[in-house]
Amino acid sequence: MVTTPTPGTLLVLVPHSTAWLFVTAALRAGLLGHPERLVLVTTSQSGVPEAGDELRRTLGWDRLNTDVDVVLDHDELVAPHHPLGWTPTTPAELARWRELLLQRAGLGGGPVRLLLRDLHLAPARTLAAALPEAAVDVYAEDLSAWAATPTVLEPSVAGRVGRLLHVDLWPGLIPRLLAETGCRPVALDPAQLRALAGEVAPPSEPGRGRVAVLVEEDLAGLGLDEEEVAALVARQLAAAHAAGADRVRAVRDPLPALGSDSEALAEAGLVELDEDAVPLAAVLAADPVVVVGCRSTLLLTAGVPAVAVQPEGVLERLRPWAHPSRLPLVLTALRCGPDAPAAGLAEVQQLVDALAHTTQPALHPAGATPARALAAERPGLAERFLLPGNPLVGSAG
Amino acid sequence: MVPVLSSGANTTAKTLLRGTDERVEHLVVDATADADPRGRMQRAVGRLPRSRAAAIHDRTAGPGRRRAEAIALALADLRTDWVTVVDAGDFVAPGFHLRVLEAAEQLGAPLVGFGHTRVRGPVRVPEPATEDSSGVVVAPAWRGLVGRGHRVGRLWSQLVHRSLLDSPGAPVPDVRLHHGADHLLGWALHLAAGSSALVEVPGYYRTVHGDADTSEEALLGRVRGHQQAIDLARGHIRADVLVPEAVRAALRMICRLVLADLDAGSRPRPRLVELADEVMTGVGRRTLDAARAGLEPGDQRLLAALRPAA
Repeated sequence: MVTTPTPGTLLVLVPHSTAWLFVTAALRAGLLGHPERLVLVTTSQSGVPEAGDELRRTLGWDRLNTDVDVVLDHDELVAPHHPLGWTPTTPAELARWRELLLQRAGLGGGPVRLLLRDLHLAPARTLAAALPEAAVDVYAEDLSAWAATPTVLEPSVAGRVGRLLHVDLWPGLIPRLLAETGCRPVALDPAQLRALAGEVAPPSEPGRGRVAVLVEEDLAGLGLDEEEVAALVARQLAAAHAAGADRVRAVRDPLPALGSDSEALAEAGLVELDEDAVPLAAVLAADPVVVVGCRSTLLLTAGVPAVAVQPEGVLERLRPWAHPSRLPLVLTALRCGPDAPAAGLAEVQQLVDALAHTTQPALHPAGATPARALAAERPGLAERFLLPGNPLVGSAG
Repeated sequence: MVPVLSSGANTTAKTLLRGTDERVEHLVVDATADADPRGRMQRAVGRLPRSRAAAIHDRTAGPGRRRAEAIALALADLRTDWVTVVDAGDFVAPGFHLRVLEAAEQLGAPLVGFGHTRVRGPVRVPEPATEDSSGVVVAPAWRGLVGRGHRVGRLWSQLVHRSLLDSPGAPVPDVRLHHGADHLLGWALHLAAGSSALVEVPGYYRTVHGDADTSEEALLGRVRGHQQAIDLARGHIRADVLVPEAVRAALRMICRLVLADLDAGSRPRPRLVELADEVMTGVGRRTLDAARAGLEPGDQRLLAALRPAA
């Protein structure tokens, strides 16, 4: 098939290996056209980037990046500042930042498109601000696609968002991220993500038996202390064995830890799967009988039986109410949690819309109606996932 | 070397790993109160090449004394040409120590001080990097103690050559000073060094914990460490500059402790008022005025309220 190149440069922000896998899968699926030039801008969202994973060491990085023209290390450009902490503060600084970016990314006079993740945070915001003429697409390869935008974006950025690319983890469920901008959601089939992950999978362990994979998550960032994390890990181990596993392996959640550096699974004696592999690829190579976690999107993307342990217990601890992990926890609980209530697509959509309203009422004023309807029509669902601790409970109810 | 108090060993080891090379040797000192039941020390040792473990003896002591014992133990144990301290929980930019080491070797000074960025919370907020803020500044050793609080007055902000540690009368950590031991050692080494350099290289991030030891003995140790630093400074040829600086550091420390009491909803402990009085009456009027002039206005008001007659 002859493909017509899309004129100009596509500049993609890649904060971690799972995001990179998603972008590569989206390119292969033709969701991003066929850009004349492709620039990857790498960054780190770890609390301590120096202790985080090096994206360029990811298994398959060179093999899958043959179409990439430039790989630009954003964090090196802004060093010694934290990549999440630096933004240009004056017009002169913004102009210098733009000049540096144009030079390092080799951007000439041609059109530029941006594909960004976490548009509400630096460096996505700083890239969008530096290239005001560029069209913006946003992607979210995890469950955050269904959560409300965490902050109100500047009109100069929000007005340029054209599409939200996401993984079709809940077919038919309409994402709420950036919905206020009127952008068009575009879904990628998770099977395509898994197929690509299979190409960059590490070698399988010989004689592995019935393996379970536990996902190491930033539970401290969800409000749990050390003892609570250790207790939760013990429950997760029990759940893995209850599912018939005779060996348990650990894999790190794709989302980097912002706060704690604890390694609860290593402390529980678990061996980590290949840490240079994309987490999804490592899980697929292990061919597990079950994946166990709490809120990780890996539970839904792996395509194998999954168990979420105590997601509702963690929901109770989550502060503030508008915590970005609230919606992912709710969806994981609904899909993989214990005693998950039966809920049809319309009811889950109602719940997602209601949560979008209660976490960001300014962006989703229309969500008040589904919130009230849910409380009236499905009180059981509302009492488990919408009402406890909700500061807008009055208006919701 | 990494005197380890409790958490943070994972992050610290990972960041050191990024910048290490075959010239660097690590000694990981387990200074935990509970003998590291989660195995963090062993994992740090397992991660770092050319590393080994050591442990303090007295785990019943407070964190300040355990840290001081860990530093003393490591200084006695290590035979490397250069020594520095990295606290567990702190982190460094890749290659940071090697850049400092290269500067030190070029300059031939037995002590090189470097700044650190204090960090609170998960996202670090480094010092602004301006074009003229990086590079090597050659300056007398005592300059490192002046004008910037006590940012290079501690052992985790300097690289020290073995010759200085082995010289006759070389300072050693006084573990009885608890939290004051590392501060005093930093001052003593600076004052003992015949030549030295300051290196303005951003890249050492010091994690600020909100759970400081506020026991009576830790409090006393901190202030006694500062008082001994004042005495040391008196014998220095630049005593006119260094004594007010040491007094200012002591008073600043007392203000921090008083503010912690006030933040906790308590009246300042009488012991703190006595110590402030002791520090201020122990020096002459001109020295005291010079010291107070460099304090923040809030600290000045606080001291005036503690000791209205001063």
